[in-house]
Amino acid sequence: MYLITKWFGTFICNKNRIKNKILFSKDEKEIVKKLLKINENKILPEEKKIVKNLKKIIVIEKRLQKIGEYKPSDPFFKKIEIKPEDFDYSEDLLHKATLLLAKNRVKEKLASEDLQVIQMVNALDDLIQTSNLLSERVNCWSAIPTSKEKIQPLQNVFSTVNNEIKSMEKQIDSDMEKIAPNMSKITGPLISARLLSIAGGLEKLATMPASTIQILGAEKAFFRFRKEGGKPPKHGVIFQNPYINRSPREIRGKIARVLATKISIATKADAFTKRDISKDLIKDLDKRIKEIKNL
Amino acid sequence: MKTAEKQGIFKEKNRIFTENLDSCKGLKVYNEKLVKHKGREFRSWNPYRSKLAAAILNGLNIEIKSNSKILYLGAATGTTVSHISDIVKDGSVYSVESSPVAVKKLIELSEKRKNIIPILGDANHPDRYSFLVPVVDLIYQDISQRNQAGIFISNIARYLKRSSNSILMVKARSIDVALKPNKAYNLVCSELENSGLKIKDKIDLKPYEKDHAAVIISN
Repeated sequence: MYLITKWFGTFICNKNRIKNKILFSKDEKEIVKKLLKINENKILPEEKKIVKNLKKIIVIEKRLQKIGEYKPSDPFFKKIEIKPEDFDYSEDLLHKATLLLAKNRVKEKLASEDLQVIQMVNALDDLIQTSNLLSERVNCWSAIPTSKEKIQPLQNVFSTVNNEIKSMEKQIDSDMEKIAPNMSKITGPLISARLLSIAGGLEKLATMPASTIQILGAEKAFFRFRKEGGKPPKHGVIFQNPYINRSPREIRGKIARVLATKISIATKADAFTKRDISKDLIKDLDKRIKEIKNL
Repeated sequence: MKTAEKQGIFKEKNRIFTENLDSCKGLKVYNEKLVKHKGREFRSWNPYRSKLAAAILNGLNIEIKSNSKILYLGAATGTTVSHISDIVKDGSVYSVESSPVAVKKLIELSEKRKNIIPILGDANHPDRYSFLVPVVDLIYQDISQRNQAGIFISNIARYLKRSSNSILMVKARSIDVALKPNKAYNLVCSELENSGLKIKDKIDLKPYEKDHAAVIISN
């Protein structure tokens, strides 16, 4: 017996025949509710109901592993076609439902807090650039005899930008401590935020290998090394961590490697289990760094 | 004008066009040129923006019927999708894209084009959209990932009708930056052949796109 769920219903099939079916409502909002559940990896009540008292169920989705054997390569699934029009469901309804589903999911994904942090990090970089530019101009201008009134407006903008930099940094600090507490404790909220912004999200960062995290921010040097040879970069944005930039040059690579592994473990906790493991990690990290320094 | 027509693709000198859908008359998708001819409206297909257009201009010969069902992996904001939607006016384009920001634009596009089914999903996991996508006539993939061949193979195994064609846009730089593009293409081709697919054609996308090739397979 094969269990197949489509957007318009769930079906039990055997030897090219549909043996049993539960169709969904024809209202797109009701359909979307079901599809959202499927997207959350949940088993629908209809699916549970239809397989009741049946044995040897074969399923095509990993999601349904609990109620049947997962066999995606079974040729049966390609042979049988369950067409929506045979059950009086139109393509138009599919279009409406998928539009609504996509809208819902996009909204949900874009509402995540890490995207806000990415924007803030980018804004911070813009502000710093602007501040440097303005400071140059103000200095240059005040070097020649100028009436105060003429230069005042520019100076006002300059100080506003500087204040904004400070408040932006504060905001990033407090947000990162909420989103990624483990990583923030290990390498500081600002470096964490930069790593997050390069990776494009907390989950993406958490699924990266430590060796990638080690050189995030040094892409240019890394690809130069891959294409033309030479030495690979030892560290990317994690260089800003005092563990690395206050250490002697010869051991920076080693420390970067250790730090990256700890960051990698910390992000996994931040993104998935949400447990606080920072104390253990910091203890381990300090121990390893001592070992490296005493070599 | 419009001297050669083939399955919804119109050729004039070295430019190609698709006929705009009736529901989208006068609307541009990515600021392309609209040309009117005998009451019909045509959208110019820019090979520098769309790899499929580049492949067609470089000699890609593939049949897309107007009622085809197509699975499009890596739809992005829908530049190429919109032209395919012009071609399969009685069919459907199931467009899978993993970036929510891109899907947002894709949604805008499919509000006007009824044959585009937008799906926010990861092509690495064909499982997760199996409730929306039926068995299809053609799979088109344009994903810049290192495992692009693997993604292609698993989706073909899952969704492609028997003895059908599929198009894979290979980005050599995604396979390995240090490799010569030709070697990267061969690597992909041998991976596809090892999984039982037949390579029908390989088209370099020069001069429109650097280090890209279109690989056409059949199963």
